[in-house]
Amino acid sequence: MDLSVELAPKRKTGLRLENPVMTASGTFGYGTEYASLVDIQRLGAIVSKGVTLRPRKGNPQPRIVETPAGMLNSIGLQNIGIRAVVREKAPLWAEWSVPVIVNIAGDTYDEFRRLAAALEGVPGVAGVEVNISCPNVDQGGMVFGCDPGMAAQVTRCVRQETSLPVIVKLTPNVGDIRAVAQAVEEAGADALTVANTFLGMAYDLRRRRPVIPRGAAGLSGPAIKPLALYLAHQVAQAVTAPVIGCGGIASARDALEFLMAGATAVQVGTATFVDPQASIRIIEGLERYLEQQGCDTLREAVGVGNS
Amino acid sequence: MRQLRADVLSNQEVMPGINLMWLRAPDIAQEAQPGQFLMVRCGDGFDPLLRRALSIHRLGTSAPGGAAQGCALLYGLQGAGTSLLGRMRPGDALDVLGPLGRGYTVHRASRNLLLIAEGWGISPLVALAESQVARGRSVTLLAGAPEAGHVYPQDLLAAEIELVAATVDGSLGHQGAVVDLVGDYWSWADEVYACGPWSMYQELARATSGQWPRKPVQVLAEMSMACGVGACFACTIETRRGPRLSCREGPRLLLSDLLL
Repeated sequence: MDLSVELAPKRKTGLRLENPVMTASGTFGYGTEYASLVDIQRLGAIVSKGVTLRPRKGNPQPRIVETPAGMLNSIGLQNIGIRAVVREKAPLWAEWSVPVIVNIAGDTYDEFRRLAAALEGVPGVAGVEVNISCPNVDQGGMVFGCDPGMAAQVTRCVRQETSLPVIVKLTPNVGDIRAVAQAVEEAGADALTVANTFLGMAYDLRRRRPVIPRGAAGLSGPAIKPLALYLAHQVAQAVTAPVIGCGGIASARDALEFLMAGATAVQVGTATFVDPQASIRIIEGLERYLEQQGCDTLREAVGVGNS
Repeated sequence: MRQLRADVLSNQEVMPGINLMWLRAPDIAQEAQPGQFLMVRCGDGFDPLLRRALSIHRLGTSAPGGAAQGCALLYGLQGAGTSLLGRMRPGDALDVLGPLGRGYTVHRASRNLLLIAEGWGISPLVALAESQVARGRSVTLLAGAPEAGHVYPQDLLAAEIELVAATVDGSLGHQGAVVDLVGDYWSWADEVYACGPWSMYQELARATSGQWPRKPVQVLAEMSMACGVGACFACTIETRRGPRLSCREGPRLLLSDLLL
């Protein structure tokens, strides 16, 4: 039975995963945190926590609030910085058979360039995922991923600095995600992650203020699955690059929905908090599905609709 | 740290709106230190979604049926998650993750331990008290509550533990804050442990700043968490020594390191 998928078909080196189940950035730390609970080598790939040029302390408390079948988060990219990641984490990843993809986040085009350059040739790093859901300090704080031109420019900056496969993680908080997807693909992205968290809010009635100090926060979890699925479907129709579905996936059934909507792979995020074995259960569920369908490959099993 | 399904041994209301649940969890009971916690899945669905972080309330021998490998949790019945725990019956299985975090530490030479609890804070301190009187140490547990009905039931505590109550309405023990009592025991105590709301840590820091000799106070500082294992970075707490992940580098911190 073959669950393997290729996320960078246009690159010479490619990015082949043994199976299409990845961990979503920000929900699996640097890959080591869950290692004693989860057989991480069975995962399709691990995507690291978002990494910035310098270490970041992140946002004030409270950083999360639970919502119906979901959670809002405003972590603020707390991370150890790219140098520490390369020095302390990458050597561990180099020992693993599971590919590790580093999620990078910058405030300026130049920061994205430097982040990509810092990962070039580093053993243990299998690819780069570009977080374009951050505000562009160069352009008045507008989110890179909300504008096709800015999103394409970030992609070009990263593309120029690295020979690694480049995945761009799109924000769902945009009018027409297809326009951004097409711009990013044209600018050299090998694959697109669709999507990131949806902006949302929750109020504290006693304090008459938003629970999260910044007000807005990112909504994730099963609550957003139909929304993310729709976006993944839209993007898959608009681009030829592989689409990685992400948003509320908690079961093999959810994963299959994304694959049938045209995604090549999926990322599991918040579901890991609920059940650390979520990704492994999804892989096993996909295997069972192939068996039931009497198919040898994933493509054969789900490559029906796309409509 | 492990994830397992633990059988519920008993699940009873021990104070108004507060349940005590015993689990059969030999692996956890063997590893766990008082002050550590479990991430508990409440129900099988997605609403409520996240696991609940619950302190290990008691360990070992006092479990029903003398099951030495037990582990107890104390929880309120009001919350969306914990109210589901209230419906569980003996024989049901609970999905738990743990033991997590760093628990209290006790110096080998210490003889007299002062434990200070307010409200929910009693939960992990009972585990600490029981484990330490079993090792022959003297333990005084100061317990603050709004009124007598919310003071931890004496008959559930090992007889060797001295329980001193403080109630806001004066219906049991000292009338006022539990922190008012600390001065009476300060010089006697070799080590001091506390667990309670942030407001209690603030009062405690004020009350102990004038006490001599200075003594470190180990507190538990638990922030809202999603994962419990250091992966989500939701529970970061700023301390005088820099940011700490409450789930993995805590929840045990020194009172003097908190930015109160």
